[in-house]
Amino acid sequence: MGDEHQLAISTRGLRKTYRTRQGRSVGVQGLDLDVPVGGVHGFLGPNGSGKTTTIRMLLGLIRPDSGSAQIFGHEVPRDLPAVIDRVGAIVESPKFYPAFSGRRNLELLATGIGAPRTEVDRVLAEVGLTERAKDKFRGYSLGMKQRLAIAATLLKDPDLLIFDEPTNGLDPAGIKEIRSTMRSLADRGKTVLVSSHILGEVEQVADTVSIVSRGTLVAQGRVADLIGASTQSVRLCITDTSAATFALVEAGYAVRDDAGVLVVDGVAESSHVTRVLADRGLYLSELVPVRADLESVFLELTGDDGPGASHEIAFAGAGARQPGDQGGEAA
Amino acid sequence: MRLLRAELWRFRSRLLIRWIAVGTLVIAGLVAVGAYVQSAPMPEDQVAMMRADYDATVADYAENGAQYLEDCRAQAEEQGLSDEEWGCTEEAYSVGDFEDWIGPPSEFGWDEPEAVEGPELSPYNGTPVEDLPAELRSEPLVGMEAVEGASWSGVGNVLTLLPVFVLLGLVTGVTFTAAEMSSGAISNWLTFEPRRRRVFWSKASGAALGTLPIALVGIAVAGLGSYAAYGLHDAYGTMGSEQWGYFAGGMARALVAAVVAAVVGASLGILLRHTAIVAGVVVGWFVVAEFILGLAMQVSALTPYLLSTNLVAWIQGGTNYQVTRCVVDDTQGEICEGVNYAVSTAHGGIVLGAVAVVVTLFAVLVFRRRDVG
Ligand SMILES: Nc1ncnc2c1ncn2[C@@H]1O[C@H](COP(=O)(O)OP(=O)(O)OP(=O)(O)O)[C@@H](O)[C@H]1O
Ligand SMILES: [Mg+2]
Repeated sequence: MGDEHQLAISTRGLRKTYRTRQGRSVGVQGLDLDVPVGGVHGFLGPNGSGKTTTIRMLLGLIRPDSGSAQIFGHEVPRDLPAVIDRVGAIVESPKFYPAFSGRRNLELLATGIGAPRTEVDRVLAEVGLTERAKDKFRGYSLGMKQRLAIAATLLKDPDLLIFDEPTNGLDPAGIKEIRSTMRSLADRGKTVLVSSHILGEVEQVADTVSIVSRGTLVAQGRVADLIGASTQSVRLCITDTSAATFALVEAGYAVRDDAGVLVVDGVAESSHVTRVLADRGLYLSELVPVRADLESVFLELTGDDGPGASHEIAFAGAGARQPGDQGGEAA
Repeated sequence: MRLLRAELWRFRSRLLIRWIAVGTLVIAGLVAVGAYVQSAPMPEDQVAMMRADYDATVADYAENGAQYLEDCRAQAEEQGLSDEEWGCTEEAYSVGDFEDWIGPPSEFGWDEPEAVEGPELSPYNGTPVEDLPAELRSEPLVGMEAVEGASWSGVGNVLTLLPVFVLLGLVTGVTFTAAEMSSGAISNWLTFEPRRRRVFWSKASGAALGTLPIALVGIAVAGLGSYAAYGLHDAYGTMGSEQWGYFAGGMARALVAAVVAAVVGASLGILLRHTAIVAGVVVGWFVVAEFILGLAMQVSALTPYLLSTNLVAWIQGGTNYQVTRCVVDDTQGEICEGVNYAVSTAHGGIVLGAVAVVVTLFAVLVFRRRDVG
């Protein structure tokens, strides 16, 4: 029992299929998800992998076909009323009453949950929406809608925040802001579950991640551990590529030629690469370490068996990488 | 309770509902204006024209009346019928007062009918009811039609128009819930209050409590406004306790119906999620079931179960419908008769109430289990 309370979210064999015209489509297929208490937890997967479906089931918006889920040790959706005050969530795009102002929307929610009106001003200020609070929700930009949604979740001062693709459609400044919001929430001891199909967005802020593909969990753990399991690569610019390739292969490296640039995989120490080449009288004009990151792990795990969805994965925050640098090929 | 407070607040804030409230007032005002027009005395020139007609007829009968009667009797003899059967009576060729000639004035109340002596007659052809075979015996008239004068009184006019406010209650309920179902705002709401039954009842009761004052003001303005309008023309007529009781009872029952309609509307909004779909279903129901089957095709077995029949019965304290029935009689051959059937207030209330309960409970059941997108 005590062990279970270490988990903010835990699901076992969670399964959901949707009835469609073509028959049944699988949303989530036997998902076992564990989200520890505290910190930011990334919930990653390509489009259509079942992230939103999972979140909806956790919040009791849709019913699972089978399996079980717990939030802070409470069976959901059965005991959801007991924990709902500790959970704030944004599912997909924020949906409020379009004809009401942002403030009116929050005031209605505050009335509904019995939170004092003063809280409304506080959360509006917290997300920087005070000035536009009187405008109709309908007239908000995407970023303002997201902020209002975050403000709404803060009305409850929850212990667990669930953000489903919170940076969808935001500009870089907005993305950065949301990231720092998530970080500061986690630093205040709250648990943040953030789903995304954009890896770079989550990688920088997440402490732990779960990766799903086609409705099942493919990896779960600390970011550092997942990266550790992956290999590191460097890119070399050198005049005599064939001699360099020969030398490196002889030294035990896997080498690829990427449009005149050599990509060396399985590198533990880049200085060793330099030395191997120098020993043969070969000198580098440039050596760029390819940041080994979650992305390669992600693509490795979701790329091949994804339902043709891997190409939809975007690389936000991947400024350090060059085009054509497909981590997947390193595998 | 908190949820209900939030829903009532949302009710008041909704622009569309404010417009419906304004529309309700406008309609109520129009009913009163209509009553003013209705109760206006006949214009002078029209009275003068009718007076001229009347005078001419009086003069004609005074001069030729005897001759007319004689001709008539001769014709009757030719046809082999009695004078009465051919309609050759003294009264047929005499003119009453001018008041009878121009008809009764439009008044808000009505005089109590004089008790009729003698055997009960069929309302259709005057045959004593006792002489008819059992299958052709009419049920006694109920509601407005049971009281001579009530149907065309001002009270009768108002009660006939009150179903409009019930319809407005329904529309209010639908718009209150359907929009948030289709906009998806409900899914956000449910992440704050996941107990679906509570959410449902807070919305249904919010719709009822919100509609109550609108319908109350609308019905009161229509009813009391009409009363006042008749008063402006000094045409109150007889408004005794009987008349007031009937009038107030009708308005009170219409108010109850409007509030219940709001709950049904809110349920339909939650169930069908789009105002347009609800409108389609409601209009479709009235066109197919109520109009085509009930009225055009005269499926008389359905009549007592039509919503329209029962709503009228509920508001007007009962209503009647007629069916032509024929029986083959040993002595007289086939005889046909328009037979009257009564639908009581209680019948109306029970049928409408049962429909409301079924629709609402079905909506709760569906909403409790449904996946919210
Ligand atoms: N209401 C629905 N009806 C039918 N199928 C659905 C429905 N919602 C989701 N699905 C299907 O379930 C699968 C998982 O969808 P889900 O929205 O959970 O994915 P996701 O991981 O959130 O994707 P994204 O990154 O695009 O948001 C998809 O194949 C989707 O087509
Ligand atoms: Mg999604």
